[in-house]
Amino acid sequence: MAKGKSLLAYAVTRGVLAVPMLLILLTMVFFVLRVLPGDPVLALWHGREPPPSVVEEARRELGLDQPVWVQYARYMTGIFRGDLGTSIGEFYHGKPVWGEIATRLPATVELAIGGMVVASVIGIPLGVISGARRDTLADVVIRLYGTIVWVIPIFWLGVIFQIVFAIGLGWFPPHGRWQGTTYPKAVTGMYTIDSLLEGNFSHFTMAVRHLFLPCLTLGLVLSGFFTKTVRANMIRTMGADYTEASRARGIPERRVVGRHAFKNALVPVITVLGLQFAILFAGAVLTEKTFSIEGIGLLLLESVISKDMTMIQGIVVVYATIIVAISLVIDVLGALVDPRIRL
Amino acid sequence: MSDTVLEARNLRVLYRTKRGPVHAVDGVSFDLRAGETLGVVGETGSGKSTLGKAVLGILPPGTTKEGELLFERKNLLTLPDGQLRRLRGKEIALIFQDPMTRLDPLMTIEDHFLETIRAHESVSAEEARERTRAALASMGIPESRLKNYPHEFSGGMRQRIMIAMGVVMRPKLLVADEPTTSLDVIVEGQILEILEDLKRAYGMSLLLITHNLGIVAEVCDTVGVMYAGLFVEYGPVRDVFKRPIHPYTRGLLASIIHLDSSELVSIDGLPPDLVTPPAGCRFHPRCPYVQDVCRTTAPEWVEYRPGHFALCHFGRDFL
Repeated sequence: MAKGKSLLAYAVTRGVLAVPMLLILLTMVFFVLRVLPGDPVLALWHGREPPPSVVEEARRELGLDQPVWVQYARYMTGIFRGDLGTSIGEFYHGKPVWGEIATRLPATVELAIGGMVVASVIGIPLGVISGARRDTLADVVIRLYGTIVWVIPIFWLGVIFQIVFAIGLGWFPPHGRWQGTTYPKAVTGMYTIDSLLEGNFSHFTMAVRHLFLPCLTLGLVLSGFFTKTVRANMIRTMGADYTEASRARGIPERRVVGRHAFKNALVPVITVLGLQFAILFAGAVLTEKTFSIEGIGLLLLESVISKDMTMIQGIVVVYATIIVAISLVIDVLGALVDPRIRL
Repeated sequence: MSDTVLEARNLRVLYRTKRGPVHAVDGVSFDLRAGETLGVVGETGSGKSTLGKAVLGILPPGTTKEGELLFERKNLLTLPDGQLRRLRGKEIALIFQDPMTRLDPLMTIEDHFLETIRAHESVSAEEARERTRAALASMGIPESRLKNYPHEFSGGMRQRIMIAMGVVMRPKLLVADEPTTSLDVIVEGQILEILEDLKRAYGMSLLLITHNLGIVAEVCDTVGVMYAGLFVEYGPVRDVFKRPIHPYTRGLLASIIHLDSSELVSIDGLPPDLVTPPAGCRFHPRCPYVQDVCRTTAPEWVEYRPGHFALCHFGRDFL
């Protein structure tokens, strides 16, 4: 069977299957948010009793006076027109939800990708060494590293980095995404990409310098988990029959580990690490808070505090979409590595 | 002897386990000459697979090896890792019991061959491909299947692929560890025929590890009967099968199903746990002829007929 063709067929099938998956997820988001206790209109009055006419008016504005199925139809059609409603919270009152999310999302994407790169660059090689040299001194040290790093509270590590590298040594800015008044021309909203697109190298350095500490913090904590995942899978593949057989064929040990054991260990690792990446979009809120990065995690936090139901709903819809998209990428990557998945 | 390819002298392999040290091979000696076949028979856990892995030098790290294991006068037990690696797959090849799990599932068949050839020789990609095609063609695997992955082949085909890969470097010694156990009887016959042909064609020696006495009778020149890490009997196949000395060998031969007898003979008991092997003769708890001396004193390795050795206090009585 031709490798490229069947892979493409697999990717297309997966892509088509992702559509019903997304629809089901969006439907669940809608109904779960309806079932949750608390009235979004009353919540805005902070426990005071609003006059009934005001409540009536607000309900009509939000469409809450309509039957559920009408609300659902409006919700679904809204999503596909890119309309997630307007905010009802005190911070962003009256602003379109999608506009707010779109300005916040790029910061989180940069942070998540940066954290993922750091975690992979550190965690994967350490996991490989640890798994390939099981029970040696290197393995013991790496396992210790993995456990310690994984249990460190992320905000604590972030603060320590801020004190040492930003305030003490002054190598990096302590917080935020940018300094100065001229910003890169917004294309993607990600300052690193935008500054590269306009070819401004000093802008790029500025963006990277701001990203460095938060990505390092997030990446280090995550690298503990990566190390453990890769190690466990390496131990499995190092003991596999085909690994022993490749040794018996006289294949040099570096290649036995790198080509046979590592590549086979990669198959489940891609799934686990990919899902971890998806979780980062929601889970980076502690890092965003510590480094005052105006990302989508902070936006969600603010929306929960101000009981901004439409904003919460919008953010969850975006998360659902991201997770479906990442699952799709994970599946295709898995099939790229493992021919048995392509069937 | 000058044409001895593989020679074992009092070979011992000691695994360290959580329950204590295990003497998987505990003093085995044999000679395998060029172009001949040595069969090693024994039950599961008798140490015969360990013996095969010791020849390839692929025992797990931390395993202790003692005695001598000479391949063309080079002691495999003391050879540096680098040199041993270059022998493996080139001069000495191994065919495993289970072909289903021995090929890397993420690699095409062709890449397995190219990898093997290029680990030992710097040849052009074109030549390596040509050799691959030839090796597979001789096993009846067509060129059109070179780019297939292992899961796209049947068990018999995979074992033929493994054999083709084992002999692609024209090794002097092929170790086959239960090469047909996981295959059906018809495929088993084909595989044995292939091994015979290869031996004739290249003058290759074969160390055949099996629990199947029929295969030994058919293919081997010499046979070693292994029990609890020891050879209990060793000699020319005809001699050992016709006039066995050790009670264990007698038991094994008696347990072969004969059409003319209605009763199925078996050896009572189970092979001993090698962490705590029995004192004296290791077979004594299961031996129908056991005497007091067997329980206390280990028997000696005695040559009862020319080239026919056994490990039994009363070997002379069984002649």
